[in-house]
Amino acid sequence: MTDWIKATELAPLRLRKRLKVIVENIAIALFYVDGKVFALADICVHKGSHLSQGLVFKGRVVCPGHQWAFDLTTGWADQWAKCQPVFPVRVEGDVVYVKLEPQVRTSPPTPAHDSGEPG
Amino acid sequence: MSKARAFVLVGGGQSSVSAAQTLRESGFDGEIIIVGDESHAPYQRPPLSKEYLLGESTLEDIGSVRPAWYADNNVKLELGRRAVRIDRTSLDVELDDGRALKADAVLIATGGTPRRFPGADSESILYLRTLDDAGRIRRKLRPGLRVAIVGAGFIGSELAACARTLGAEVTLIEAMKTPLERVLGETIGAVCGSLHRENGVDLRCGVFIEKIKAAESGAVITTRDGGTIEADIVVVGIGILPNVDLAKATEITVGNGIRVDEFCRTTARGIYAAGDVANHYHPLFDCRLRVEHFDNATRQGAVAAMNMLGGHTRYDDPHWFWSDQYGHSLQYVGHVSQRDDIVIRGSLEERSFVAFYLEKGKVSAAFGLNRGGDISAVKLLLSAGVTVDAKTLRDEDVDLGSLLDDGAGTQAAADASGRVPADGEFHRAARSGQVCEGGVRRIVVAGVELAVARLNGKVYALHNLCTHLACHLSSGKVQNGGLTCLCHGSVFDLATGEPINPPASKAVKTYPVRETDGQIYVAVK
Repeated sequence: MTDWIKATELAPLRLRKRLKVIVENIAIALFYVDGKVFALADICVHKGSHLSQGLVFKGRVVCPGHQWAFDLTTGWADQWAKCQPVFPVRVEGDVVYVKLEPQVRTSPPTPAHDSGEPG
Repeated sequence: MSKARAFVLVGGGQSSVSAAQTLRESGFDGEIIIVGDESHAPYQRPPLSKEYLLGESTLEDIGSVRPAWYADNNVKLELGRRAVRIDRTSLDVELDDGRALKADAVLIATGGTPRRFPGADSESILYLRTLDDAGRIRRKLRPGLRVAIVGAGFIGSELAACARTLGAEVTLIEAMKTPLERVLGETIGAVCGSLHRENGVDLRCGVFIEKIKAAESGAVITTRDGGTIEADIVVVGIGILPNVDLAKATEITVGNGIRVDEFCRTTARGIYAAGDVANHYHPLFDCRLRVEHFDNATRQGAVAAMNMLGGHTRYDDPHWFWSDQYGHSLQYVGHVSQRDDIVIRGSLEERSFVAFYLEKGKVSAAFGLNRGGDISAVKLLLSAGVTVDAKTLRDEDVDLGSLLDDGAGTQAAADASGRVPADGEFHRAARSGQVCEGGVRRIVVAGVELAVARLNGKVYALHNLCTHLACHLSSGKVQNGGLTCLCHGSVFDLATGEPINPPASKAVKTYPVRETDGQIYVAVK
């Protein structure tokens, strides 16, 4: 078990909607959508572009490298059956915390799975 | 759909695989046969002029699907075989070994063949289209090798970048004033030219070639002005010619590729075409286009498959493609027939910009250098038909994605009101006869795009975009107890819009409907 680690204050993320942070040498892309925060590995599993520079649309972040679209909650890219690691994230007061326990699916999420809970 | 028992997909490339995937994802359980004239299972071509050429990826890495996918999904491969004719009545596909494959519908996705430079055929004069072509070039590339590349289009440009990365001496020869001028225009083409020059390529533009001749050790190019260029190998990248022999033998209309409509239908019933070979009518740009890029092959193959299953799905997204050169990301979206004006966002010098191409005052296409995020946004803005003024396009403080949010946000706010509409808020949507029992059609009411369906006499109105991947529900079917999206099989309850079958997990918005005096009215506000 790892601990919750402070990733950023909420304010700059809320302002810019997307933010790259380095947490213990790991680059994490944070996204703020409709009051919720999502955390994915910043380096794209495909060819290493930065997801933090991608467009967020309909619950997905589109990688600027080759336009792979990853689900913000699960990290799953439907079209390619590949998964971008996602990190548990929580907001407490004005601070965003992440856990350095990246989760990677090997199969598509079922529609019921949308909670973003570990496992 | 239930009657169709066998589909034959001619062409062993990305379009056929994409079609096969779509057929299986849509629940088709009949026979699927892919006929390909290469000996390899279908693979992705973009890496052939990038990481595969650099030796950074293998055949397995670049396969269109993992090797076991075909067996797992009961998709049969007929490799090393060519289809020579299709019987237009029976749809039997005749192969070059004399066999005939039975089919209920056929997809032609035969791609193209590199345009040859007349008289230029030898060991040291090469072309790049197939995996074997790439293998041949890859085996020759080494530090110090003198490589002359004819044509600075996408293939030539990427090849130059790879050859330089591997330490070869590269001369890149282009007839027009800059690389990629036909697609990007002179100003932006010049920026692409500068990428080559600063990476040590001897780029020669405006140079016409008289002949290419094999020599003792390599080849000699003679230019029209009398100059000569000696090289160890010459690679010619001057475009492809669509493979239309099968279509011609089948008496299907061709003309710069196989003519298809926005539903991927050829002029022969039951025969469809997609990918590099398909000269398609594009509703968004209201013109014919033949597009030689991976994303087109993938998406058009998928749309063809939906329509082979009896759907009625338009292929109308803007085209998008990418190129990777010297660590830079080049991306293009849309189509422009005439570049009336160019608006730049960002900086050409810093190699971080979007060039918007305007036609009749509207953005019709955009090219991004290291601006993939912006290009994603432009793609969606073009699809949605959102017009953005030049000042906003230039303004880096405006997130292009937010222009989409605004539209969507306004809509959501209106939807959330939850009021029961007063009489005055019902809009006439259609005549009753236009929505038949068990049918669904697309109707735009007060700017809102609806899928209007009828089941057991009652009419229902749903927002037309599937909540899964925004396919048109009006292209779907009233079946399985609801409205089925043919893209991925999501089913929505007609009355509530709730998903009753995955993959969709969110409800689609529904609207109150009234039917009186032979007219259908919908309240959209």
